[in-house]
Amino acid sequence: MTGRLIDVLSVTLLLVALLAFAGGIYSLGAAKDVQALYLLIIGALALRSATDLLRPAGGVR
Amino acid sequence: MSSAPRTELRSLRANMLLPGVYAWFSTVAYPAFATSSLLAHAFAVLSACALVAGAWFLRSRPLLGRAFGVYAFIGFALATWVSVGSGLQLLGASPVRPAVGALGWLLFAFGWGYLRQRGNVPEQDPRAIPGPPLVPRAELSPFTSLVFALSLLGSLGILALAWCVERPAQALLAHAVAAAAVVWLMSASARVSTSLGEKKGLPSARRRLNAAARALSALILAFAVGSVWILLR
Repeated sequence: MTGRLIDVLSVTLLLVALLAFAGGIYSLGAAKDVQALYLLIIGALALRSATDLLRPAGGVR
Repeated sequence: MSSAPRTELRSLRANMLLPGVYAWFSTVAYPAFATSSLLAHAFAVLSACALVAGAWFLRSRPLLGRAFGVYAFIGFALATWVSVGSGLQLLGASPVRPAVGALGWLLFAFGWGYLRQRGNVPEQDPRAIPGPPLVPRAELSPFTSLVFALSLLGSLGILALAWCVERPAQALLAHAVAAAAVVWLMSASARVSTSLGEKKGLPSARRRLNAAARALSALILAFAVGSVWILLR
């Protein structure tokens, strides 16, 4: 059950990353450079978190 | 050589040459020969020669063919653009020309790809190792396709959004960031979607959370900083 919740968290983080990247590029188009940078950082961290949740047993990458 | 392989080789060469020539004419030759720079002319000609050499060596020496047709061709095209300097602005004079050029380079990339020939059965290849069919070690979750499809659509949206950036320097940055983000997103979504419901190979939930603790903490911190920033504005 807890494993399923972690799967849901991983998918949620993936979608957060997707939206954050899209928002970052959109903000760049709207000349909001600081907001764009912030959203791109959020996207990168969310994506990193999503993939870190999938580290195989015993594997360190 | 019989006529069938010869025809196949001609078709393969045409697939690689034609898009390359199209990309070369629309984005390399046009700015290079519109300027008086001899260096630009030389690089443009070398680029075309590399493309032809790539197609020529394609079958007899595939590695050499790829080195000429892909790396040398693109390298000399880049050298042409650098030597053209401000003359490169000719390409941006109208929105149609860059779009046509981008299409040419897209077709060039597809031209160097390989597709399975029609009617070709991989198991009939003499190098195939006979044996019973391999059974998948796990079944995919029903949500796998959904998650991957959402990521794919979102990635296409990100690439499309990059075209909405009008400021020239930021537009280039937006395209670079969008391309990098999409590659990373697709790679991560493939891993996330195929691991859904997987019981073997993954550690306990606690260890998975611990593995992501640093990235998650940084994310929470970034959200907190963002919230404070919004409140102060």
